[in-house]
Amino acid sequence: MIYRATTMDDKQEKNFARGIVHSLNLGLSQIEEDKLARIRKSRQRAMAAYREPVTILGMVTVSGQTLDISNWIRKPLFWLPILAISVAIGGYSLSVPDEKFDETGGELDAQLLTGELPINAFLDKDFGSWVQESSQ
Amino acid sequence: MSDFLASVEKRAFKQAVYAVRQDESALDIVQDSMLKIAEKYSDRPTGELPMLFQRILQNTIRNWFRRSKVRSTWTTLFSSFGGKDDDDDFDILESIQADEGANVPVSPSAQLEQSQLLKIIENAVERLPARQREAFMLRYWEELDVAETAEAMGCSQGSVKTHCSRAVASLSTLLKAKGISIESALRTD
Repeated sequence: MIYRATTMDDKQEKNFARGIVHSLNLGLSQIEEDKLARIRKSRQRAMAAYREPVTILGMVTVSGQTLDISNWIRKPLFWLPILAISVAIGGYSLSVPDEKFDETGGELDAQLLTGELPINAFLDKDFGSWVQESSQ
Repeated sequence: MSDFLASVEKRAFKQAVYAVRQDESALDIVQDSMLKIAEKYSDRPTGELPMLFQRILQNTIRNWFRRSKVRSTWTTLFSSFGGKDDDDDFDILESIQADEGANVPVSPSAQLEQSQLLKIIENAVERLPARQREAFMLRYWEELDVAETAEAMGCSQGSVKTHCSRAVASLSTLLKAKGISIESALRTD
């Protein structure tokens, strides 16, 4: 024999559901103590991760987690823009020519070309230190 | 937040048990759900927490079934209804055979102790298709309204009503097959 569903109206459905829920609620008191302890521990763990919401300028309320910097630091994406900016600054500083060096180097080139500085001067061991001193 | 979690944790555990039928996994599901709502939704108004928590809980249960499917095809094969999200067309009533002697006019309340009755009801709840059980639990046990239930389940309000009606009809039939009327459940305190 196969049972068929009997249709219920809204009131009957609610009454029936009330009966089921009543029984299920009674069942809550039968959960074993070790399981209740695990559930309590889970709640404590969740509350350890909980951050009170923060209201910014009395207008926007955001999760405390959002403003927690230690939370952001752990995320790889947090470091990406910082890395990009560092690389950009480093690259720029390398690409900008050292004006002082250019000045000294240019002067030496001119002297070499005009013959005022003999090319053998580069073989002189003190010439390097003279160039450095004059560029300071 | 702590008070809210304390108020729902036991029911959340039982809901997870009815769904996955493993206490250990149910405990993990409850833990993950609590952690998620505490970490991600602390800025939400208190009134939204019940619906949000239920949505997280149901999603965590669904994820558990997905992972189980990957871990073992056997679990999927032998699981009656678990993990089947799209079970709207499944009708448990088609598969219920009446127990012998179910029509014998005896008083169940006289024969069954409260714990036995509870066990039968819990078994009936476990046997419901996942979406029907979900709708019934959220609507009647968690006392969410139809709109909140729909949001938590990610479906339309019409679907919620349909799932609830089917769940009630299925439970009624399952219990009737065991010779139990719901009045007896209400009488047993």
